[in-house]
This record gives sequence, C-alpha cells and structure tokens, in this order.
Amino acid sequence: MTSVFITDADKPMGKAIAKRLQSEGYEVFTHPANGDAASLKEAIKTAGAIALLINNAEPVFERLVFEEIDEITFANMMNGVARMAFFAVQAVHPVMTKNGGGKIINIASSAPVRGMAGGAHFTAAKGSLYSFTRSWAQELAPDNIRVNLVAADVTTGTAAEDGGSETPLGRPVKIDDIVETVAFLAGEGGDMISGQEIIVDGGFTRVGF
Amino acid sequence: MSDLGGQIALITGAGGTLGSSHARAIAAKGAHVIVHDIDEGAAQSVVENILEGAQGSASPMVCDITNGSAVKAEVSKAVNDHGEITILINNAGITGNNALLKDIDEAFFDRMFDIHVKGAFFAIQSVIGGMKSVGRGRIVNTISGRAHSGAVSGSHYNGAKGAIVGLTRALATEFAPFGITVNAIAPGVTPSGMTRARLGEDGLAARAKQLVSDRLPTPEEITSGVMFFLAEEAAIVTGRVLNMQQPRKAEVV
Ligand SMILES: NC(=O)c1ccc[n+]([C@@H]2O[C@H](COP(=O)([O-])OP(=O)(O)OC[C@H]3O[C@@H](n4cnc5c(N)ncnc54)[C@H](O)[C@@H]3O)[C@@H](O)[C@H]2O)c1
Repeated sequence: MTSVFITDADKPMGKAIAKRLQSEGYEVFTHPANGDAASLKEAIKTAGAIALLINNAEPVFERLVFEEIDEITFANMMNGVARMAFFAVQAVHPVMTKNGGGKIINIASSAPVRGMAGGAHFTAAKGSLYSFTRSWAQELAPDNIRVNLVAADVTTGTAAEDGGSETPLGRPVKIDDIVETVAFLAGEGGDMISGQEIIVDGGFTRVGF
Repeated sequence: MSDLGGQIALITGAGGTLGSSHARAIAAKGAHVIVHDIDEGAAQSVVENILEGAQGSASPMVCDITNGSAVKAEVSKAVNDHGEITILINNAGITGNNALLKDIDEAFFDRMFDIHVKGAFFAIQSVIGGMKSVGRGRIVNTISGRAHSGAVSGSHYNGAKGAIVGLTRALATEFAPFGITVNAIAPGVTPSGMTRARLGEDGLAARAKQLVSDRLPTPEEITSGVMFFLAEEAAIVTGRVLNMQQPRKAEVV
C-alpha cells in the first residue's frame, strides 16, 4: 500500500486531507507539530513507502503585536513550521528516491504574499515554505520528486480575518477547497507541476497586494 | 538622494563586505553609523576607516546577533550614547555553502535560521520602540535572489531568506501607521567574504560569464539599493523586495 505522511494531521485541515487521501487508497501516517526532528525522522522511517508528503504542521497561532512575540513563541512557530518541513523532506527524500519518485506539498498561507499585521512570526515561518518549495523543486527533480505549495487561507492568517470573508468570489474559503487542490496535485494532474504556488483564497490576494 | 544628517543607523554584520559598504555610504550621508559585527576586529576597522577618512561618524557594536538579550542590551547602550536608532539594516549572515539537503544537519539548519531570521527579528524588536517614539524609521532586510529563484542547493539558506521576505511583508503592514517602512534587498552574487568562501575566485569568474553584464556587482552597487529605501522620497515604499539579481544570458525575462 502507498503511504502518505501528513504532519500535524490531527487538526481539521490535516484530518480532512487525510480522509480524502484514505478514500483514494493511501495509508496515512502523521507526526505532531513539535519541531522534534529526531522523532519525526523515526516516524517517517516506520511509515514505509511514502509516495506523498504533506507538510501541514502549524503550531497554534495567536495574533500578537510584534513587540510581544517573545523568543519562545517565535521559536515554537519557526520550529513547528520551517524545521518540521525541512527535516520531513530530508527524511522522505531517500525513501522516495528508492521508490522511483514522489510528491511533496507544502501547506502555507497567503500571508507572506500580502502581509499581515500581528503575525510576524507566522508570516516568517510560512515565508520559508515558499523558498523551500522553489529550491527543493530544483534539487529533487533529478530524483523524480515534485514539490509544490498550497496556500490555504481557511483557518489562521486568512483573508476572512483581514476583513475578506467576502472574497472576490463571494464566499469564504472552505477546508474542502484545500482538499480538492491537494488531491489534484497528488493525482495525475500534478505530475508535471513542480516549484509552483497555488494560493487558494477566492482571488483575495490579487486584490491590491 | 536626501541627507541622513541627525539619524542613527545600526547595520548588523557591518564588518563584512556588503555591510561595510552600506556603513560607509550611510555615514557619508551624515548619519551616525553603529557598525555591528560578531567579529570585533572587523567592526573596529570599519569604524576606523570611516573616522580616518573624516567621512562621518561611527562607533562599533560587538555581539552575536543570535543572542537576543545581548542585542537588546547593546542597543540600549548605543541609544544612551547616540540617541534613538531610526535606520536598521539587517545584513549579518553566513553562507549556505551550496550544501545538499542530505548533508544539512540540525546544527547547520538551526545556525542558519538563528542568524538570518531570529537575528533580524530580534534586532528589529530592539529598535522598534525607539522608532515608534520618534515617529519614523527605515528597516532594510537582506535576502537573496535565491529566495525567489530557488537553487539546486543551500535550501536552508534559501528558506531562511524566504522567511525574511514574509517578515518584511508582515511588518510593513504592521508598522505603516507609525511612519516606519520595512523593505528588503535581494542581492545577486557579489564578491564578498561569504561568496569567496562558497565559490572561490574561479567560481566567481564563472558566475560573471553567465550574466548579461558579463560582470559581478560591486558592493557599492548593492548599497545603492539600500540607499533608495533610506531616501526621504521613498517614504511610501514599503513591504517590497528590490531584486538585484542580474538576468542570466539564457533567460528570456
Ligand atoms: N555577497 C553576496 O553575493 C550576497 C548575495 C545575496 C545575499 N547576501 C547577503 O548579504 C549579507 C552580507 O553578506 P556579505 O556577502 O557581505 O558576507 P560577509 O561574510 O562579507 O559579511 C557577513 C558579516 O556578518 C557577520 N556575522 C556572521 N555571523 C554573525 C553573527 N552570528 N552575529 C553577528 N555578525 C555575524 C560576519 O562576521 C561578517 O562580517 C548576508 O545576509 C548575505 O546573506 C550576499
């Protein structure tokens, strides 16, 4: 059976993605967003033939005035997002290479594109995923691994929070919208897509940013 | 370009190639420059160089940029001596050394993110109260063309620079009501301490041949990007990255 490894799959978004991929025959493995690279690598080792990695880890996020983000809050966010994604990819790389290839999807937010008051730590952490995506797409292409990013503006850092519940398309983004985009990239439609960003925001980010 | 007289500028990693070029240019425009570096000798010699040429006023600051409490303590000393800092250039950095994903251990990853992201984050925190009290401020972060283009190696470096792009956009939004702009420059390969270590002289020469200009930039040419963001006339420019990576000959755009 092919495996999908979804970091932090116990929250609503991760759960919904897991459910959809299970229905397509994947066996789902996960690890919490705690930044612990050693236990993450161990979990990936036991997951077997991972064909798809979804970097979905996102620590609980609270909007804070910049001056109030202390070193611990900053570190938790950076480690939970950037460090988790980095070492998950490092660990799945040899697994995917051995199996002839694979796909990696980084779940981000539109915040690094449009800016976000009160979310400096969150936006920095998600910003790393944009550049990781562009880099890994190049470095891992020879091993037949595709790397893309889906900006999911459903929960934290959403357009809705910034007064955009009325997206240009007239309704907020739903978790299902993200699930569909992920399923598309995971399927044959995503076979020749790599190094790309899809911002699922109902068109909000294109409005004046 | 407007005069920076009366302003106090802090430049991190200013003992290095690009930072020292920024320091000289900003001092020449009349600001007092705080030349920060972890390398005391390097910071001292840049200060002496500015003072000797009578090209402005400068003083050293020595600490590890990853040590948030040391940065805060050093900044409050400097503010006591010179006044509120209204210009911050986040420039300190280390090379990703073209490392492959499989070879980047936890220590190298953490060092990379600590120096670039945590360093910039808490340097900004240490000056932001002063900038808000004065009602003006210019923050210029240093990313890299690699944050946009990606690269076949050094993904920890590229990702750290991408985090700074996010930080730049977030803070531009947050600080705009206070008259503070936050922007970034994205230099392309420029001969420097860092790039000589990574590419060597031969590698630098080979890189130059790939570019439409057939040459690499000078540090002063990169500094011109910083000076643009500092100009009075650039008050409305915020949350932007000036990409100074030169096009390659084979590129269509
Ligand atoms: N030169 C290039 O081609 C190039 C291209 C893109 C981006 N950059 C960026 O420009 C900035 C300056 O780099 P440079 O090319 O002048 O390199 P450099 O090595 O000459 O200068 C970097 C300086 O940062 C200092 N530094 C390193 N770690 C530090 C720490 N922990 N605390 C305090 N200071 C520390 C070093 O001592 C050094 O003086 C870096 O952020 C780099 O990533 C450079």
